Amino acid sequence: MSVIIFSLLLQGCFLAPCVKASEADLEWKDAVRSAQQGNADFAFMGFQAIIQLYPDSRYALPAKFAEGEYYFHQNDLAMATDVFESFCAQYPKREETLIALAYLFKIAQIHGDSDALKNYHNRVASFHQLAFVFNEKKSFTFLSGFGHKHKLVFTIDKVELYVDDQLITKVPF
Amino acid sequence: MISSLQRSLFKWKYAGLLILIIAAIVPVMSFSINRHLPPYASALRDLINQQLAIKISFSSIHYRFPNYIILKHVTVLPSNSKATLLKTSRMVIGLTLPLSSSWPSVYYAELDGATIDFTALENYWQQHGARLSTWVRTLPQDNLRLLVPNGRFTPKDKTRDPFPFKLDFSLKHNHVTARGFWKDKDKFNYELYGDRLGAGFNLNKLNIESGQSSINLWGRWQENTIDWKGFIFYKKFYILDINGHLNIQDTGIVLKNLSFSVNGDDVALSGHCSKETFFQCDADMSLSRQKQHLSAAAPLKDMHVHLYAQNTSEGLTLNGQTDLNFLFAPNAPFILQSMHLDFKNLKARIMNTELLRLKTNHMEISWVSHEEHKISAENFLVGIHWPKMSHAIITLSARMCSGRYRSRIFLDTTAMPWPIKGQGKIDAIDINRLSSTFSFFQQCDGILSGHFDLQSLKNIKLTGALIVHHGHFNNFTFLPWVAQTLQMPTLNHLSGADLSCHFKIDENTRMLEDLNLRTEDLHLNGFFHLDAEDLVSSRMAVRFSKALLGESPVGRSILGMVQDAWTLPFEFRLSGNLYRMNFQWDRSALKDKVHQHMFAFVERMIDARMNANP
Repeated sequence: MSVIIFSLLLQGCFLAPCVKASEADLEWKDAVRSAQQGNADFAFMGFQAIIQLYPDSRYALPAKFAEGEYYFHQNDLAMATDVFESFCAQYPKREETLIALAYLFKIAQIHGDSDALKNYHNRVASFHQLAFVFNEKKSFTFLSGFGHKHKLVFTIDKVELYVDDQLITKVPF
Repeated sequence: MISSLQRSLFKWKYAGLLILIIAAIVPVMSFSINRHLPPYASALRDLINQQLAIKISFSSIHYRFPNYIILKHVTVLPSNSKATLLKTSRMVIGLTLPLSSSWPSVYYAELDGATIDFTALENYWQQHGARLSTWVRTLPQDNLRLLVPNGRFTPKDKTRDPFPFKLDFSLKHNHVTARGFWKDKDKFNYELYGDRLGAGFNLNKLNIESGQSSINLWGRWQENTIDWKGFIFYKKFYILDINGHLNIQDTGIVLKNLSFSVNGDDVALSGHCSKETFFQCDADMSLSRQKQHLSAAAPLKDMHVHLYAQNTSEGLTLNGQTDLNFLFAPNAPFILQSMHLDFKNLKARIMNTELLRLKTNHMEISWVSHEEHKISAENFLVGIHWPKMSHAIITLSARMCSGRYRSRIFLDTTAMPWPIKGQGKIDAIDINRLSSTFSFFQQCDGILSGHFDLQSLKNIKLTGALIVHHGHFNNFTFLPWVAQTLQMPTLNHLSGADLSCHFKIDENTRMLEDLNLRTEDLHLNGFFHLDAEDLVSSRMAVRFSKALLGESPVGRSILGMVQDAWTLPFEFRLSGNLYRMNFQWDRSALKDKVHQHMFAFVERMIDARMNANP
């Protein structure tokens, strides 16, 4: 009997997060499906729900990134800046942060804001320490919630951001 | 009717008679006075000549009714000189009428077309100033007017044209008024109002004005004390809240305090001058600048100067110290926090009105830039040349550390803070002697030479060449990184290294060009650029000795694959942030040979392992 009670208690402890995780999974899938169907606004609402309801889930990072991406494509560059800055502060060591910084650099280029350009340029330049011993290029790819393939290409003196194989921005250093 | 006509005729009769009498008396009186005037004037002239040690000559003298004496072509020379002190085409002297028993005295003097020579006046004043002062005191003190309507002043520099001036001075019942102008390049109008107070003087107003400047002073001279206040506008300078207090003592003149603000920055002066010679003095000066005025272009925070000047047979000798404190800007290419100058027996000589020369055999200069540095200079020579009031050119030269330093600084005084431009050159400085000043050069032998261009304090450019023999370098720029990457700890500390490079440092970049570093174990050449954001751009080729390659596991692997690896240059590139530099092994003969011995997956593994933080 005590074994049953203990196992029930144990289930009680772990079941709730498990249910939450699966809910986050469903929410993510739902949002991605909306994005694939071209309903960007519904997808955005789904990503926001993940950020608010499941901030510790593994989908929080791509959802936050997708939020910034949404504002960028909606041409709401001020909101995109806020979201990407918040993303960088929240995930300072993640490779995706470099993509967010590249977006921020692009936004600064669009605004012609030299101070911001300098700031993001320095942050991109000091983000990594890379060694190119035999290969002269390195890359990192990331599929965003909106289904866009992001690719960072590193060489000794620059970082390039490609989105769906289209060059979005180049940060030389 | 008849009666009134008779009265009128009677009046006219007497008026006519009076005119006739005067008409008869004036020529008679004029004739009589003019007859006796020349011998009387000659006697008086001889007396004045004797009293004032001058020679007065004139072409003619005559009396004009009722009380004027007119002299023509008057020339005044010092008795022991041929230089004319004063020359005037016409001098009118007005005398009081001897209505009472007293002798007539001068109450009016007009010098028409007067020319005064400054050099002659200065020489005369130095020799006979006291005598002239005593004589002036004998002149009437109650009622006097001196008028020079169209005077000319010959300056000390004879290459310059005489400049016109006007003086209208009057003294009436202790009230003094002076007005006029002088015109050198700019026309200055002046006005002075004051009152004599027994042994003192109350200056109600002194106003000097030209197109761009204005001086306004007021104050009081009471016995041995002079107090004054005022304000000055000069071009873009606003000198406000002038407050001075001066005391004349038996030993000399004591400036107890003089304070004012220059465009909001506070200046204070105090000092003591010998009574015998103005140039024998000790003085303290301090400048304290407002925080909001500090910038990279004008970083001087405060300055304190203590000076003791003495007139010796060799000219003016200065001893003292100067302390300067600067705004600390941690990101500036050159950091200067403070500076201290200690000078002894600094000889100052005014070569002419535009050139001052300072010379000392030895000077100590110390400054703080993160850490304290000290350097001594020999044969320190400064020339301050100000061809115009608007700018000055300062030339500096000195011998230091067996080498020579020369520079030229252009100072624009029309704006505040003074914009500075400069050029300088150092030749053959012995690096070994710099080791106590710069820890970077410790245990180094070599020669440093170079030059710098200073466009402004904000935009400093340094370019030059550096040659070091038998250098000892700890953590030399990028070598710690190479040491860590290739696991060659020897590279952290280089001994007996020969280094040569050209350097260029300005606001945006710090560059080492044509860099050549050679030790027993290493031969490196290339360039290393660093921008204002600490971003690196560098290309190098380095050859390691067989021993050094053997020290490193990476080197040993390479030697295992390419046996003559130590003869081939290892070519690489650095970029990115100085503290997180990216590295790339460039295509070269060595890389090609290593590549031939490697599987592709091993290369990828090495690349992945070498990445410090992706």
